Amino acid sequence: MRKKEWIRLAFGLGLLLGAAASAAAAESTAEKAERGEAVFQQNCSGCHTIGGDRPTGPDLAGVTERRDRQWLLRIILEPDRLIAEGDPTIRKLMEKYPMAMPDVGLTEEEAEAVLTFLQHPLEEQHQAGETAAAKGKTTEEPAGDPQHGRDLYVGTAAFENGGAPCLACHGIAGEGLGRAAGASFGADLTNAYQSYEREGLLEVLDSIPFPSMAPIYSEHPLTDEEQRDITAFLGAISGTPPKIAGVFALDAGIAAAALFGLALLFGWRRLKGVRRPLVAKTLRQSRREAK
Amino acid sequence: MNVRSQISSVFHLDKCIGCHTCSIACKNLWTDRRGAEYMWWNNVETKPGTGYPTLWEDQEKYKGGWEVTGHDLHLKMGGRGSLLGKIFHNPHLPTVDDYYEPYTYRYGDLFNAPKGDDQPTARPVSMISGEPMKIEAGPNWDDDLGGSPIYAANDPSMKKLSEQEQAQLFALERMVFFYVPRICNHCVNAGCVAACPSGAIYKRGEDGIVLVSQEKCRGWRMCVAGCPYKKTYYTWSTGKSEKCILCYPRQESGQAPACFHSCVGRIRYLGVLLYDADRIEETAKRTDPELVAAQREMILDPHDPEVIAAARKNGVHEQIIKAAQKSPVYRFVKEWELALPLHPEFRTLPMLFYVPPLLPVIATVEEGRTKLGDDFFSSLEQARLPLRYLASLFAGGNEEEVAKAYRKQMAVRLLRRSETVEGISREVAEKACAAAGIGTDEADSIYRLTSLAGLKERVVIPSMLREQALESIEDPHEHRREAGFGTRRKAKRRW
Ligand code: SF4
Ligand code: SF4
Repeated sequence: MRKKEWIRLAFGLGLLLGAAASAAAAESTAEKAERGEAVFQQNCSGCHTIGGDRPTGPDLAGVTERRDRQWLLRIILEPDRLIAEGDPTIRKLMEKYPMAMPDVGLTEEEAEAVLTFLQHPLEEQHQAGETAAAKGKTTEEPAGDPQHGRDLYVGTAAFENGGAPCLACHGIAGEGLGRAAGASFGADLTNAYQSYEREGLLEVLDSIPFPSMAPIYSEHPLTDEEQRDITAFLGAISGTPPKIAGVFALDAGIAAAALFGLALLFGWRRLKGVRRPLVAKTLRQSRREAK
Repeated sequence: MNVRSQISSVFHLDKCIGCHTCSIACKNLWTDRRGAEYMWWNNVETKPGTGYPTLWEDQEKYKGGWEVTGHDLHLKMGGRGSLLGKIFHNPHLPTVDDYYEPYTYRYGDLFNAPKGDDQPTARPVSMISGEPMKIEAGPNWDDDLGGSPIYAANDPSMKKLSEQEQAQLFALERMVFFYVPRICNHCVNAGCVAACPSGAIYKRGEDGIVLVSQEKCRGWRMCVAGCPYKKTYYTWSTGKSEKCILCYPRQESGQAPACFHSCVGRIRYLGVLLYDADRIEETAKRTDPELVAAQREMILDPHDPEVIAAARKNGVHEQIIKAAQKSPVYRFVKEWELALPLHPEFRTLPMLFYVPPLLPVIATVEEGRTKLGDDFFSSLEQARLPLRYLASLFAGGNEEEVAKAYRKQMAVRLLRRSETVEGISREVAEKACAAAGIGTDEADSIYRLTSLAGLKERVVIPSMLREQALESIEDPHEHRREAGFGTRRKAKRRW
């Protein structure tokens, strides 16, 4: 209900924006784009690039030209609904990018700001900031230590800021970790590196854009070194075939045997009441005698 | 000699009028609450009959009590290994219907029913589910021959009689019944204690009262199956088992247990017995017919200096020894050999004894005078109930034990008749006493304790010495200078 109102408002705002493109707004476009950039870095850059290519989500350079603004607002604010409605554009996109866009929980305002930023990404200050940041990440960072990454992942080594080990939620089928196919709260990460690649993973681990992870790690962020180590570990194990099938079959077998045993125990020579059968038997007998 | 003391009881069945006052006193005090509706820690059942729960005496069904296999004593329900297999569901438990589904009536409907053509009725509803139900059974459904053809005819002890004897019992002019009030026997070799996998059931060291710790009980219900008398009950609302506590809180303040106190027929006697704990196993392994005598041997004479010394050495308090010397139970059980344990063949060594009911003897009327059969003392032909029936109830099949008790009771009766009414000469009475193996003064004391004793004589409670018992497990100074004594934890389900 509330969302609908929001969308109507958003639509109205979009029109207004279009009409007043040349007029001076209360907040200057530059300022707004600046804010949008921050929001983008925090929430979107894990999956999306501007002028790049990543297997997790489509590149967003010039997206404001390609798509209807209202559609863009909806995909940001209520992706679940849009996907559920079977929107044709989304469906086509999902063929290429199988991971569904999560609801990252932006407000209307923030979404607007992001769109403004996407509209004017090339303004000097943004551009400059972007490349600087990108350069900082890619060129200066040393490679992580996959062994330490593994320790952090499974929890034998503690995160410096006290975050929970990844294994608490994410299994890795390829490593036989966490009975992956069985009890995991999060997605299996065997192929995470393939879909995100190094840059993407670092970005995700840094900004934690997923709403289910945010409350866990916002208070306990990963250090740069930890981010690199985990990424290195995920890179090292990427694509290994799952080791899980056998273990799972064993589990299922044990469970079935236990159930069978229990059924046997419960049913085995159970005393089926005493009084009722006794009364029934005696009555039957006396009736027979009466005949 | 390992002397221990035990609060034991005697129920004199010849005096029970089957009024159920005892059951009600107990119910009001302890089990009038949710989850305990169906339980009667004290119940009174009509015999012959199948009892409560139905056919509880049939251990082929319920697997309670002990059995001797080879040289060892085993719980009939199985050893530890097989218990483990049954731990989540013991197949030999009585169902609620075997006890009876507790019910009440919707009395409110009598006042609140909307106006209509018919008289409003109070429908019976289950006390467990609250749903309307058909009443099919009760805690003593076969009361007073009410269900004889079904319930009395299926009494397990009846099966021990010949066809002819059975038919005779059901002949109208010989119809007979008596009452057996039952509470937990606070057995010396308790099946319930041995069956409990949580170690929640224990026998109090100072008085032998068997209790279920509500904190330790995990609701496995093994005690329900292990007790051959079906005297532990599972409380469905708390998930714990409960049983008769012999009103220990009342006893600790010097009062008789509620059922003893309220008993209309004054049939109940309570007192201390000293017994030799070293002999428990050996006693419980004896053959069925020997069991009554063996259990009697296990009980020690509280006047014997040797016993007293051993008791003192074992920490039995002076006051308890004194109470044991005044115990009416000791007189009935050991001195007079009048009181017998119920179903000793279950081998739990029950510490509640019954004086078998003599019931009016069948007499012939000749020339307007009632005459007893002449050969009564030799054959006991004229006993109302076949001796074999009573022997299967109270003596593990040993008819001589019952006959002995009968002869003594009969002698006392004849002696009293010779003294108070005409018709029987002193000579005949003395002959009867001699045949029963008692002197007339002994017969007189039997009479006094049976008929004249006041509450203080019938119920001899020793000082329970709680202060001492407590000191052995808790420091009495622990709570000094503290405010209050803390709270007791509420029992609650742990799963
Ligand atoms: S009568 Fe049953 S419940 Fe009572 S002590 Fe004996 S075995 Fe236990
Ligand atoms: S109160 Fe006494 S007389 Fe009445 S039923 Fe109970 S034991 Fe028998």
